[in-house]
Amino acid sequence: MAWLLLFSVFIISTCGLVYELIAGALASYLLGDSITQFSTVIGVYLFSMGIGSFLSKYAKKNLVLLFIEVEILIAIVGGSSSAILFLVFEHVTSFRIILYALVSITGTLVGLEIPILMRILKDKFQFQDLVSQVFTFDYVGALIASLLFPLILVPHLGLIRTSFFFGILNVLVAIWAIKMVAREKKWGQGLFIFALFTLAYLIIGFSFGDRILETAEASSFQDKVIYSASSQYQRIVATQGKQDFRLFLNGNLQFSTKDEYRYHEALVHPGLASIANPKSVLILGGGDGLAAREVLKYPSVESITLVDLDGHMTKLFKNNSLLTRFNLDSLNSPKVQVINDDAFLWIKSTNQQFDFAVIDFPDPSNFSLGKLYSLSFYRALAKKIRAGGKVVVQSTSPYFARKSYWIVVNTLKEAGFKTAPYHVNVPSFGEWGFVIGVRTDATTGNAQNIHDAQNSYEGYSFPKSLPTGLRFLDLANLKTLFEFPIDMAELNTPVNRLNNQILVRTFDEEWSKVVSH
Amino acid sequence: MKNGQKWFLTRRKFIIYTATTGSALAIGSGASRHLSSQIKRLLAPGPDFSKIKIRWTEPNSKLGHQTWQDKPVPPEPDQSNSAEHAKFFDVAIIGGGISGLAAARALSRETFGEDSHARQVRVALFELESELGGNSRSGSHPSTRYPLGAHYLPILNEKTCVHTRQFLKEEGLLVENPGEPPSYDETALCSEPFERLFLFGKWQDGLVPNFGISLQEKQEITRFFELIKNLRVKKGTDGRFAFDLPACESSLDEEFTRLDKITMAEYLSAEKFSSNALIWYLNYCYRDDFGAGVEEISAWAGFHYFCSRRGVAKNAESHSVLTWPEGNANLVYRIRQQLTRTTQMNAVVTQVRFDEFKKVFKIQSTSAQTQSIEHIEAKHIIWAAPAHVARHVLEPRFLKHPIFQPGQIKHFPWVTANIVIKDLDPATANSLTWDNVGYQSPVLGYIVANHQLAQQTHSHHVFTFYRPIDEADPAVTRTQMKDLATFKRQLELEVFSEAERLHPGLSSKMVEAHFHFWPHAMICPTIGIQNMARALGGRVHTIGHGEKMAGSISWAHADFSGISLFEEGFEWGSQLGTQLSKVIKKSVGVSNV
Repeated sequence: MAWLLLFSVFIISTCGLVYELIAGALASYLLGDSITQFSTVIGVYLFSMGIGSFLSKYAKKNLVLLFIEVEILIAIVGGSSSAILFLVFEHVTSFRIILYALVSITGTLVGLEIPILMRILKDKFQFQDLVSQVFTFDYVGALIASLLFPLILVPHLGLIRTSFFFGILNVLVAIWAIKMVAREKKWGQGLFIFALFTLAYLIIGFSFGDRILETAEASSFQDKVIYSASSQYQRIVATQGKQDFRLFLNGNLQFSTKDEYRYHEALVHPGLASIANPKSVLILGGGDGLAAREVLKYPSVESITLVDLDGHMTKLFKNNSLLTRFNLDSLNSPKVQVINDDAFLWIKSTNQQFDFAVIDFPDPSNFSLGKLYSLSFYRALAKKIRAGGKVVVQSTSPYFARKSYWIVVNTLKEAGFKTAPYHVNVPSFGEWGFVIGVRTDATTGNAQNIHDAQNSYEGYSFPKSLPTGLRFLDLANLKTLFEFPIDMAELNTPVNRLNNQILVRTFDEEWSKVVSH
Repeated sequence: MKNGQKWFLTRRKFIIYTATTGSALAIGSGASRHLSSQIKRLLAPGPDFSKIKIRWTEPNSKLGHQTWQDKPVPPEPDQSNSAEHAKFFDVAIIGGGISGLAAARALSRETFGEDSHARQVRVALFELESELGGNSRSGSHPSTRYPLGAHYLPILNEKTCVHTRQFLKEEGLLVENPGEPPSYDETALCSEPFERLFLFGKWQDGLVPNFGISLQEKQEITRFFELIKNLRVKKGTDGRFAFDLPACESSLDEEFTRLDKITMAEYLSAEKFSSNALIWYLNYCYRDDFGAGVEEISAWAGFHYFCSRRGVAKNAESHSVLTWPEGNANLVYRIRQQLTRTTQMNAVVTQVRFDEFKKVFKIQSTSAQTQSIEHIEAKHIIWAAPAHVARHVLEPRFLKHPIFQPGQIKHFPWVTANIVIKDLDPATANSLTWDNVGYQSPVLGYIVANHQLAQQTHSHHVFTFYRPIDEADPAVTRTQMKDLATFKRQLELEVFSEAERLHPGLSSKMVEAHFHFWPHAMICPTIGIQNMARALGGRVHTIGHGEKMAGSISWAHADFSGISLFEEGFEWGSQLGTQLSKVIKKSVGVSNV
């Protein structure tokens, strides 16, 4: 009996350390910066154990009952901890509060266990034996846990199932203790049933643990999936790797924190900086708020209207403190008005006029999205841009999808814009293309791109200054973006119309070649 | 934005990626879901259509049949009263479909007399249905409007269809480009993707069967399309195209008109066309336009279908069409906007008599709302209602043409079903084309009514299914349909099952269905009809001649073309309306002197 109780010390300490490791690992996955996360989690955990030990002195009678109750509580809290953390990550504004609360509760409960156990066993052993035995089992358990965790548990079970698994071990200890010690006691019956329910819950949690994270999805991403949700319109997945945080929509990379500044600086500044005193800016798409972050670097801008179909996306990048650190809280700026609406319908119905518009839609990979790159769309857009105002369109890769890129340019031209195409290297994407459209009064644009190597394209002049603090662009390298090497040079292409959707077909053809090589 | 992650994937990685994703999906959530859906399918007696809210509409047949049944007893002609009370019009147009509306539009453009005497032609337009438009009517759901019948207008031929062209120009739907083909409004041009066919369990692009078809059949299909290609540009000895639009512009060369004497089926068998795939395709096309297949229609109509269109556009393919969520009801709405001065009568005309004494037509009608009998007088009649109705309304002396004989023309009954689908899954939604057809089905597939809407996603889709009832002679069908309830249940089941066959599981997402029954839809171009209609369409039957002309009846309905198309009705209506307004202008000028 006594030896079995000592064995339970071993189990308990293994479980305790595993919960601690899970919390530390999860915090590193979700929040990044593993040194800080592990240090703070371990610190909070050990301190909470101290609190637990301190509280143990107030336990006066029926220590066995208390031990069993604590054991079941640890099973519930510890066992569910990683599932809880994964599930709440998307919903709460301060994930850390929940994280440290869970760590403290688990720590306190584990801290209670050992002193109570020692007091239960105090009559069965000599004091020096007792201390020696309990701590031996405790530290051996810790060693086993720290080896099992990275080598076997995480790779094979994953975090969620690991925590449920150790919850099960905890509750089994409790059940065994009830069987051994407390079966005849009148409180034993109720506690036994409660323990069985807890066991059932943990087994269910363990069985469906992978569903919580959709392992199928997780396995298709290079890094750990830390967030995934299906909005009404798309599948949003965020991953945290060693070096960067990445956002995927329907499996397509939207940005990597490692180099998104290249993309967004190139998207916004060549166009916006070339406008004198821009006041009103429109962003279509761009629900991540990263383009808005760049636009906010212009003090003259009074209002930014951001139209994104997906309210889930904009809410996420407005409220989640882990994500707002990337967009510098741009969506909460008083200058920014977020509208969740269909871009095509909205652009046709709005009465507003803009100095500059950033068109940052997903690539034209289906016929619905293809509409947003059509002549009809650009014509509707042109009506909302002040004369002399500009637009910039993200227009896929001129290297991987050269024809698609020039279709976008030529369609914009057909809609009456004078065009200035340019491209930039974003390591996560490769060569990426944009095109600036300058609104002219002509309804049919036959404007030629006469390349004046020094200062301008027809209708577009290089900016004289840029906002300070950019990480990628300066006035000298900005000009070079407008030069196209031979393998990306201009092509004669048809115009993308609603009634031909030539862009979607071309895009599909060109990208499928890239994927299959 | 970007598909950047893709370029990291080498071929090998891509295979691993798809394999792991695929297997993980299958093993994980997929497997159990698949299993449970299989079990459900085995246990369920079939898809459940009981939750769909069904609504049927049909023409006002009670009122319509007043033309020959329950005809109200005309009140005793009280000379003193009627002379004062009967309203007088220059023209009464009977029928508010495309031809009647086009006639009203043409008549409303002419103003004559001078200054204080200036006036417009006084026009009364009779339509027994509460909504104008004839076969081009529409219905609506909060998410979109949808067609009940005709739903598109093809690119126009270059030289003919002058009135339709002018109308499209006025509406901004067509813009002429000097020295180049015209441009069409791109929001009205049918968006891509255009059409697809479900055959042997798979969807293929285009409607000509291509997948799972033997080489021999493919060769036959190629041979048929070669024939079409040549005939499309062929001209007769009279210098006209063999087939043209409107049909009356087609060549009168015996080489082509003889095709009106045999059925398309006879032609095909004589020319050794026997491929099932080809004949299915032809039947699909003909049933779609004429309500019946190769056995019923003349070979002339069979070729007219394929060879009469030579339109080109600057910004669209030649086979493009103009379409709107509500179908051609959009064009009806546009015409109506131009008819500010036309007196619209929601009434059925029960009798038209020419009064030799007063030299006017006396027109008796029953109001659709109040059921009250009204009388008006008109100098001229434009007959814009189906041909078979005329014999119940007009005097026999105006009906000597053989087309008015009972049984001469066939109108096959039709049913259209607009099914509202809630929360269609994105994969299916992304795969939809405008026109979606199932191979070898009595139902002609469906068009997606909301296809032309600009938005990215749709909370509701509306699929418009078309079903001509051509299993039996239309007269026989109409007698069998006395048991209307059974007939309706059968059609509901048929359409729902077709939807479920094309998209397994769709039944659970179908929330509403609006069935519209067309007892007499469009004329079927059976053998001999073309030659017969030609003698009458667009003609004016005058009473008296020259300056002594007392009045006239003219034939504007597309029945008098032998082919029911928007352009046919619009051209006849416009042409006759223009012609008549000149006559009236002249007579007003005379009377003023």
